[in-house]
Amino acid sequence: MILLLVLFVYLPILVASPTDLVSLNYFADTLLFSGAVLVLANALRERTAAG
Amino acid sequence: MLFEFVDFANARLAAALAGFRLPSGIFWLYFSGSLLLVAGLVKILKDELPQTHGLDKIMPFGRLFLAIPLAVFGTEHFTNTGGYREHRSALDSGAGVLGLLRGSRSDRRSPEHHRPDPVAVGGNAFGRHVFFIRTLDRHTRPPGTPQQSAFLDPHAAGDCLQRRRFCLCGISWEERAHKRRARACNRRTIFRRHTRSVLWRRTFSASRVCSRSSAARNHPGVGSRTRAVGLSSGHGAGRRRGSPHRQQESAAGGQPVWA
Repeated sequence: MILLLVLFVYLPILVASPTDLVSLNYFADTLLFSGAVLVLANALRERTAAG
Repeated sequence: MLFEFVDFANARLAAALAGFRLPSGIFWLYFSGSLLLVAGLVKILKDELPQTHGLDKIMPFGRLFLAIPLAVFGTEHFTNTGGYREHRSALDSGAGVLGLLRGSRSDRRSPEHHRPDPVAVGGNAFGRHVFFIRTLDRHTRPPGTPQQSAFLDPHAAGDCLQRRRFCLCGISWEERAHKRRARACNRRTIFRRHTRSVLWRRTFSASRVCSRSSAARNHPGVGSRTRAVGLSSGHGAGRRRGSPHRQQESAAGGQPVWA
């Protein structure tokens, strides 16, 4: 969901104004959040499989 | 720009030659992010993606998505170092005055952040108060630099008149700070900008002035620093200089400028 938000909301904003530091901040912040969620989900899945 | 500070002038040239028509600070953000994206995609598509199935194929990208913004923000710390002082809040600026910080300020440690030129102070009256006091602080002045003289506009002088003690949780921070600061600040001279008249010479200590001024005893509701800044009709410092139009200045508009 967060990754979709990045792809369909913040990536077009970034493409529309590539020199704007704020749009880059939006994109990178949300991408960081989605990456953290994915890493957490992966870690939880491996832990469940091991346990 | 940090590239100039570390003598990497070629970095800006490389950005110009890249043909992206991006500012150098923005260019390096994209450069670092793209570099990690390409390296991560090669690694994921080659090694990790064939081992996963279904919706789990998105999982290896999590580390990549985590790493790319970290690279972008890390690069931003190297490229966009300007404007740090402008983004500080008034309360942060006043932390040194209020005694919340001790020793050197963090933004004064590195030479690239020090601005010895006159600083236009924005914000509200609280910010001007803080700046007025903070610049007179020995701890905020970089070592080895000459002492500064203050040139006050009438508005800033008016702010001095309205200044009260900062009380936080029942503790008078101003009093504590000035007790510690009064010994160090005995060689300051404060001028009024337009008339170049001396507002205050010698030790700057608001709490001492408040306690010794007769205005403070007689009119506790009125700021008692009027004599100190030479705006009253008594024996202020400005009266000693004999400027006839000094008494006509009002407390409206202006910023302190330091020379």
